[in-house]
Order: sequence, then structure tokens, then C-alpha cells
Amino acid sequence: MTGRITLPAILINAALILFALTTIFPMIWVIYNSLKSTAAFSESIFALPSDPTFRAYVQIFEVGTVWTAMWNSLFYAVASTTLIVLLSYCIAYVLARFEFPGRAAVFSFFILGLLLPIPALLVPVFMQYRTIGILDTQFTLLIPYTAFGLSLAVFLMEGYIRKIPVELDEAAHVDGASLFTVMFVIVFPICRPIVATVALLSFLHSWNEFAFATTLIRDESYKPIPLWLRTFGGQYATDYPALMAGMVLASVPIIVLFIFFREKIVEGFAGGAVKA
Amino acid sequence: MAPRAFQPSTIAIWLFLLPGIVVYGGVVLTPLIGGFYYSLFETKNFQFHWAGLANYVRLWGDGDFWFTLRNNFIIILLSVIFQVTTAFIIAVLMNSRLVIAPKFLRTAIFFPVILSPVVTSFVWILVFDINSGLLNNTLEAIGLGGLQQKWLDDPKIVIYSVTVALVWQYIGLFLVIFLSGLSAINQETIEAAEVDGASTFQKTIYVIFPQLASTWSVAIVLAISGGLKIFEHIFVMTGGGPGLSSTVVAQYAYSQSFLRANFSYGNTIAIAIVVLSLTLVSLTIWAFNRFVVKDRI
Amino acid sequence: MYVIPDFGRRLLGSAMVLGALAGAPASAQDVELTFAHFLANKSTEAPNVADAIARFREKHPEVELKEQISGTDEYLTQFNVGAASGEVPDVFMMNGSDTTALVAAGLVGAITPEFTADPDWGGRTPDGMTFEFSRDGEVYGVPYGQIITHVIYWNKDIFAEAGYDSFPATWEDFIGAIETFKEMGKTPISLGNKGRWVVVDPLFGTLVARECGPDFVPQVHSGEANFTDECHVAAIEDFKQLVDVGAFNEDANSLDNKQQRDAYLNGDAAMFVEGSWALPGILDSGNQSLIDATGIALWPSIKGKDENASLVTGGAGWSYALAARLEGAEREAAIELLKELSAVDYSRSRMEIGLLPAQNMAGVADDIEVQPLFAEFVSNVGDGTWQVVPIIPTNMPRSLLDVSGEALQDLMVGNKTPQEVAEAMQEDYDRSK
Repeated sequence: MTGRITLPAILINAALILFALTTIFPMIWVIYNSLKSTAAFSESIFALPSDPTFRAYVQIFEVGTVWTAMWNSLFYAVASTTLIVLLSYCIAYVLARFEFPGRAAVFSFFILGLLLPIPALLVPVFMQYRTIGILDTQFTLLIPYTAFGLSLAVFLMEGYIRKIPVELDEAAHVDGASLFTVMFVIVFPICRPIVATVALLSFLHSWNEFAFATTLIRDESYKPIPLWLRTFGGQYATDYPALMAGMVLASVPIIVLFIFFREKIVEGFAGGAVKA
Repeated sequence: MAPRAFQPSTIAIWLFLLPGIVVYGGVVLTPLIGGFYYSLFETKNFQFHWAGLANYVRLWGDGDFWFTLRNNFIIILLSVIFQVTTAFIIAVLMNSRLVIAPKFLRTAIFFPVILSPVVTSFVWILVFDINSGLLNNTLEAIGLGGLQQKWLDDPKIVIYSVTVALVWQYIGLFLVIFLSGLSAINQETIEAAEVDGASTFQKTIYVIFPQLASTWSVAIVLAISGGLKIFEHIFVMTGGGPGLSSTVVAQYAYSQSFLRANFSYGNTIAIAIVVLSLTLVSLTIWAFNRFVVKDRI
Repeated sequence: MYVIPDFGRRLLGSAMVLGALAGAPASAQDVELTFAHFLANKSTEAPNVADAIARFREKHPEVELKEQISGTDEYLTQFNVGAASGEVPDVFMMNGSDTTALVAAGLVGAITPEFTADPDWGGRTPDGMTFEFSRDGEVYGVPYGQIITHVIYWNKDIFAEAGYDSFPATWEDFIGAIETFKEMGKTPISLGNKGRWVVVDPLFGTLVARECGPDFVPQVHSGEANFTDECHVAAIEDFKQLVDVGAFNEDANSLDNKQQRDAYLNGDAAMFVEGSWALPGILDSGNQSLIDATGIALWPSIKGKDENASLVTGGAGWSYALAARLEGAEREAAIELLKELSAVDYSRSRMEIGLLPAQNMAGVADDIEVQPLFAEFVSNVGDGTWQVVPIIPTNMPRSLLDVSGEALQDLMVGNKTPQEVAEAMQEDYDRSK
């Protein structure tokens, strides 16, 4: 670091650090208050817990509905991530490597998804699902989660594949490899970094999604974690530590992923936006 | 594109595209068509009657619709001013050599982006709570008790309160967009300006800013399309209340359909949002290409 | 790790659902019946519904009963859209506000012959209880229970502290009491109206009865009365007066009904206003001194219209109903299920937890030991101390609840005048009736 210690430098650093603290403090505040008793919380909302208790967590686990929601969210997130990676890779590879009629149209078709106001589609999607009869199943949410994840994934993947020398594919092809082999045995492993980025972003989106879940799912046994949290938040609206414990549980997997893969996640968001 | 040594048949190409197109089209394209179709009917007693463009006529004269749309525009405007601009300033500062921990700052500011809107909405319910909320208690503690507000209950404030929550959560996204834009600009021009004795302020305005024109257009497009997408945060934080004060247009469509059982009108609003969003986004991109990017080159 | 098999089971279940969609043959049981409801969520009411269903299953092993259980909000949204695409479950919960629409769309089946013929069924159900679910002399739904949608739960200790030994008998006295509570630093009326229905139904509906008398709802139906009538606007003004004198907590529109009750239970508020369904929550609170201090009352007489002072909105709100398409064995099975959901056992178990049954229980429930507060409910309703008049929202088109909820919130925060609120309601009624 070559910066000199000057007054402006100190002020700028102080201001930025203060700002950064306001972005992480609310969640930290939620985490440590979830370890308080309700009495301790009403005594002081700022103080660290003097006598930490897992009462709120025990209470949530005893009710047990959180497990179902966690499993559902995990299933939706893992399954939709897998589908997104597979489908977007196929599309991106073809778009990046071959010239064919309709190529540009397909590409713009997927761009559209990044700009559409998704909540506007809730009502028509609901009516369509109702007509087909696919509301309220284990697989209902996989369709929109996969579909809306595809736009971003296709972009990121297409851009990445384009940078891989096409000679590689051609050499393999000359050696007798089929298209399938070229795609999945030769090129796919090279794409690992972008696949990881796409997978992380897809997982985050599916885990956090609320609008489609609240519209398309009515059966308790298929509700993902954000719906669970909203119901739980309603029931425990005055038991602040319990509500906070629920918020922590709903965020734990996300926070863990972020801690381990923060660079990839940040790059993925930035790259996706700039490409769009 | 260069000719390829190997080119599969058109059928093979479409076979690879098809699964994705079907899944995506089934959620994006067919609902749009279906939504438009239903918007041409009137819903009464759970039955649909042909109504032509009557719903669109009603929409045009519907003060509540325009009011909720105005709320979206407040959010968009404030996002551009506070979110995009602040992110740009922070990005420029972080890019200067004065900042001691840029990685930490970037990670910390980005952190809320990854949280679920439901979680952050509850966080802000707790922050805004009149009695045990973080905000009013902090104001009290630092001797600014006079500034305490009914953050979510005062109709004049509530739309700004929810905007604060939105700006807070997504400023990190705009920050990383500008950082990645900055990393791509020509360092030589900045150094040349420094040699010429330009101040940080002058550097930013005359050297950095013009080179980031396309990044700015991305950020503003995102702020516009994002501002018209707002739904979950307000749904959870205020339910659109009190009254109509914090209702946004997507939620207005939702309540017309699901709470008032007027699906035709709900679909009409949905189609209007899509058309509006795509128009605004295209206009922004066009304007940037026409007036900003060209001038620079 | 019991969750993993459970997860697998549900995966399998979904696969079966998909299979069924693809046209797999129906199961071997004689009759298949779906029953959609939301009562398993409300912990206080879950047991009696679950027990009634268990009794039905035991008596009718030939029927394969499939429950579709959900939360109230989700139930409403999905039921609405289902109905809009011409589809309802075999047996479902019908809200009074949907009766007209479902009858018009030919989706709900009349149960009049079976209901009136059975002295133990229709014979034990007071006529007023089926008002919301009857059209043109036909009965379409069995009331799920009786609800009184306006009850003031008041803390006698706090009132005594303010110098009131009994509940104020006139509106002016009542307003005076509110001002005293404010001076004492207590919230006069704890309110959690984020969901909007608390003001529309528990607070506002009975004010309309005070101003307009017992027949407002039938008069609106017949076109003799409008929401813009003087008396209805006066009721809105009465409510506005409560807002203006500061009867409610400042965060009234960002809290929900659970929070309004908790503030009362903590002793922070002198009163809260909700329906009869809120009673079990008080009795369960474990706060005996507060239970002992709690009284029940209604809005006092307004403007000397004493003849209206005993009126209170009530009815059933919800009913159990069956699909019009059912016939033969399916219809018979559905009728049996409806009977089980309004049988003596079902009504008894409601009374045991402090909820009013829709059926006349004289002679069959005298042995139930009820808490004093609930006994007061039963006698007030039974001896005519309270005269029940129709609930407004459940007797109006579905949209009116949301429209009035929004308009009354706007009134509370000063965005609408009473006249504008009345106009918004009338406009919606004219559009959707």
C-alpha cells in the first residue's frame, strides 16, 4: 500500500468502514439477539447477551416445521441448480460455437428474462399452472426457478465458452470424438470455474425466492424456507429473539456459502450484470 | 463467426436448445400470451366474459394504478440518486490508493445482496419498530430522539422507509458492477491526468466518468428494471399499507387478482408493467447509445 | 434422522401425483373425496376438525378422504383462482362473500333437501346461521361455527384505575375514558391492523349497526341502502373520531392481530377489539390475574340510538360446502362428511375450548364445564343481550373486504375522508355485485 496517512485518507477510510459496518451490523445484531431471552431483549436491544440461551432455537426445532422447509428449500435449490447448469451449458455451448438460423433470436429470447419484471408474471403463471394442474407438487417450483435462472446462466456460460479456443474442439473432433464427447468430456471440465459461479448464483436465488413460492404453493409440506419464515414471523411477531432465530436459520446456508465462496459470488453478480 | 471444422446438423443443434427453450418459454412466454388473452375479459362471479379493451380503458383512468406506479418511480429515482451514485463514489474511492482494506469493504457492502428478501424485510421491520426498533433506539441513544419517526406507519414516510431498505440491500450489487467497470478502464489515462496535476475530483469527472458510460447505462437499466420488479420487500414489510401508501404496481396486480378475485384486471396490470418495463429499458439503452457513448468516441 | 424417509415419501407422493395427472387408474377404494380446508393451522380449532375427520373415516372406511390443508391466505388465493377456472374441491370451505359468485357460476351444490329433512341437522341449526350461505331459499353451506365478529375485551383493573367501575354506557363516556387512559400513559385500544380485516370487521362493522340499525346488509342487497348513505358515512366518522382522539397505538397499521392481543395481555392496553375467536388465546395465556380482570363488552350506544345498542355483527363467516358436480355415492359421502363437521360431538369440542358452535346445543352440552368468560358469551348470545346482525364483508362480494380495508387504513392516516371511503366501497360494490 503506497497511500500516505493524510487527513483525507483517514476521513475516507473512516467513512467507508462506517458504511460497511451499517451493511453487516443488522445481521450481526439479529444473530446475537437471537441468543437472548425475551426479558433480556426488552432490557436492552443493543447489549450483547450476558447469559446466552438457545431457548429460541430449541423452541423452533421442537415445533419441527423448519425441517420440512429446509429440506424443501435444499431440494429446490439443488435440483434447480443442477437443471440450470445442464440446460444452460447445452444452450450456451451451441450458441457460442455454431452459426445457425435463429441464433440471434434465441440469444435475445434469453436476454429478455433478465429485464422482465418477474412479479408481473405471477398471476398469468398461476393461471397457467392451475389450468395444467401442476400447482402444489414437489416439482412445481422447479420450473420457474430453473427458467428464471437460465437467462443469467446462459450469458455467463456463453461468454466463457467463447473465450476457450475452438481449435480444442476441432482437434478432438478430428480425433474422432463425437459432439457429445467434445461437449461433456473435453469442454465441460474446462468450464468448471464458470459452472461453479453459475451453480452458486442459482443456489442463492432458489434458496431465497419468495414470490413464486407464495403464489404457487399452498401445501405445507412443499413450502420452502422463506414461506416458513413468513408464517413463523407472523406467529412469533412479539417474541423477537425467536423471530430472529428463525431469520438466522433461514440464512445460515447462504451465509456459509458466502463466507467460503465470496469472491466467486461477487464476480458472478458483477459479470452477469455487466454482460446484460 | 469463423467457419467451423465441424458443424452438427440443424436438428442436433435444436435438440440441445429445445429443453431450455421449453422450460423457459413455459414460464416466460406462454404466461405473457395467456395474460394478455385474459386481460381482454371481465371477471365476475368466477366467470370470464369478453370485454375487449375495457380493462385497459379502466386502467388508464384508475388513479390507484397511477399512484402505485408513482411509488415505483420514487423507488427508481431514489435508487439512481442514492444507490447508483453512491455506489459509483464508493467504487471510485475504493479504487484510489487511499483505502486500506478494499477487499473487506467490498465483501461487507455486498453481503446483504445474498440474503433473502424475506429475511432482510424482517430485519427492517425490526429496525423500524417504533418501540423496540434499532433506529428509534439509536436516535434516542445519541440524543437525537426528536428525529424518531413512525417509519412504517406514517404515509408520508413509509415509501422512503422501504426504499432505504432496498437501497441498503442492493447497493453492493452496484458497487461491484462499478468496481468491475473501473478495473477495465485505461490506467494510463488516469496516470497521465495525475502527471498533469489533476485533483481526485477532476480525475473522476473528466477521466473516469466518461470511460464508465456503458457501466452507468447497465446500472441505470438495472435500477429501472429492478424498481419495477419490487414486490417481496413491500409485501412482507408493510403489505402495501397504510392504505395504498406503500403499494407498488406489482403488488397492486397481485391484490386485484388474489384478494379481489379480479383476475382479468390483475392480468391487465401485469401486461402493462411488462410493456412499460421493456419500453423504459429500451429507451434508456437507446439514449445512452445515442447521446453518451457516441459523444465520447 | 427421521426427515430423510419423510422426504423420500413425499418425493414418491409427488411422483404419484404426476402419475395420476398422466391418467393412471384411480385407487381401488369405492369413493374418493377431496376436502380442502385451512383449520389445521389454527391451533385452537385444529383438534375438533381433526377429530371430526377421524370419526368420519372410522364410520366410512369405503371412502378415501384426501385432505388439502393450507394456511388461510394461501387457501383463499388458490381457491379463488381454482373457482375462476371452473374448479373446486369435492368438499371445501366456502366464505360467505363467495356464495353469490359460486352459486352463479354453478360450482357449489345445494344441500337443501338433506339439510332441512334431518331434524338433527337443519333442525338444530338456527336460521340466522345459514344466512350467509343461502340464496333464493336454497342452502349451500353448513356453518362451521358461530362467530361474533366484534367483542371489546377490556381490563377492569385499568378501567377502575381510571375511575370507571363499569363499561361506559354512552359513546361520549367511552371517548372520555379513552382520553383518561391516554393521560395515564396506557394504550386505550391495542390495534394490529396490518392485515386490514381487524378494522373492517371487528371494529367498524358494529359501528355501522349502531348508526344504521339491524337491517343494513339486507337493505344493501335489495338496493334500499348504499354505502354512501348518511348513517354509513356517520359510522365511518365515528371510527375516525376514535382515530382522532388517539384511541389506538401509533404503529396500529404495521402490527398484526396477534401483536394487538399480546399488548393487551402484557397489561399495556386497556382494551382490544377482535372477534369471539380471540377468547381461547386469552384463556390459554396463563395470565390468571389478567383473565380474571378481563370483561367483555360492545361499542356503547351512539347518539342516543339506544335501540341499536345491543346489536353486534356475527354469523359464521365460513361454511363447509360441496361441489355441484358431485352425484351418487360421492355426493352421499360428501353429505355424510358435512354432517360429521356439524355433529353434536364437533360442536361440543368447540365449546370445550371456548368457541361458539353453530348448532343449538340446549340439552346436549349442559354438562360441559366452561370458563366464566365463555359462559358470559353463551348467555349473552342465548338470552338476546346481544342481538346478532349480519357481518358485512362475508355478505358482500369478495373484493369489498380488501377495498374497505385499504380505504379505512387510508382514512386512519388522513389520506381519505369519510365520504371518500364510503364512495370507494360503493364503487366497488356496484362493480362486483
